[in-house]
Amino acid sequence: MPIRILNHVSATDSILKSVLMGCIYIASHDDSTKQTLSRTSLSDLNNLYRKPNSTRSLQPDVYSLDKLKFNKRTLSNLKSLKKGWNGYEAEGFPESFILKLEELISELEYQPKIFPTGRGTIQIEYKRDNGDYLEIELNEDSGNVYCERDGESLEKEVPLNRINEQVNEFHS
Amino acid sequence: MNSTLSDTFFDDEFLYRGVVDHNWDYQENRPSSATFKDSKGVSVNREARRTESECVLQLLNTKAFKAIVKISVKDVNECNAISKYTPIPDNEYHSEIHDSIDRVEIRSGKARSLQKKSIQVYMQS
Repeated sequence: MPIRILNHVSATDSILKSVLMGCIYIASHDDSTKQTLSRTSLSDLNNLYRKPNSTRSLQPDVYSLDKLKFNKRTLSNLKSLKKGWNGYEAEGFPESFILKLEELISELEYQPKIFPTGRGTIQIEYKRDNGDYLEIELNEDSGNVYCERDGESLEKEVPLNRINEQVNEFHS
Repeated sequence: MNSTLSDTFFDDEFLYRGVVDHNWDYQENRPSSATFKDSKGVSVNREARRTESECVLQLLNTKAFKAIVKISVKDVNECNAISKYTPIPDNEYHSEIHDSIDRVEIRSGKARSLQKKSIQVYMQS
């Protein structure tokens, strides 16, 4: 729900947080871009700004709206793949599976690279500057995790609701 | 299927696989390991003493691949995977890479190893 812009903002603050009636109102000190901003609860704001791996942090490899949009487009394009799309025997992907993955991708703190496989799964990949590597091969119910870290590798299966946890652990 | 080729691969023989755009990692400028994940064994064409150009052209005649990579039979063995000659009616060079004698579907770790050892021999301009 949009709110009124606060008129008095300290010139030294880029963001002013004020508490009113149990809610946080966020306003910009930049008069040239006065726009209504959404209100959020105090607990939500705490989650946004205090959580180390917050999707709202400013680290370049963390959540990026542009990367998310790109990845959603990538997934959407996979809906149109037909049998033999890889030049071999690969089948297309059910729309329900793609929609499920779009939801999963939207929840990820770190946006991956996305690649379809010829065996009905979709793989997400990450690589860190230090050479550590993570890939998760996703099917309807679970993900097969393969990770290279500190010169060692491991492979394990995790349920879809723990994928974000695996990704965050890799980046920690 | 009757074929004149031996079931046994030469030690220095290469196996060729096409890579489509969806499996090309533009950031790393190489195929993703997803390239080596197929449900019925990773289909490849064996070299069988042909020239590289012949091997590349055979694949390009089936599809306008983004890239073509090769991997030696020796390197497949070093990845603890196995190469299997499986000719089909319209392709006497058809072969497959399997995870092991007992398992067809390649595990992620082995697909990653295959990716690392694969050599790019053609790139779409």
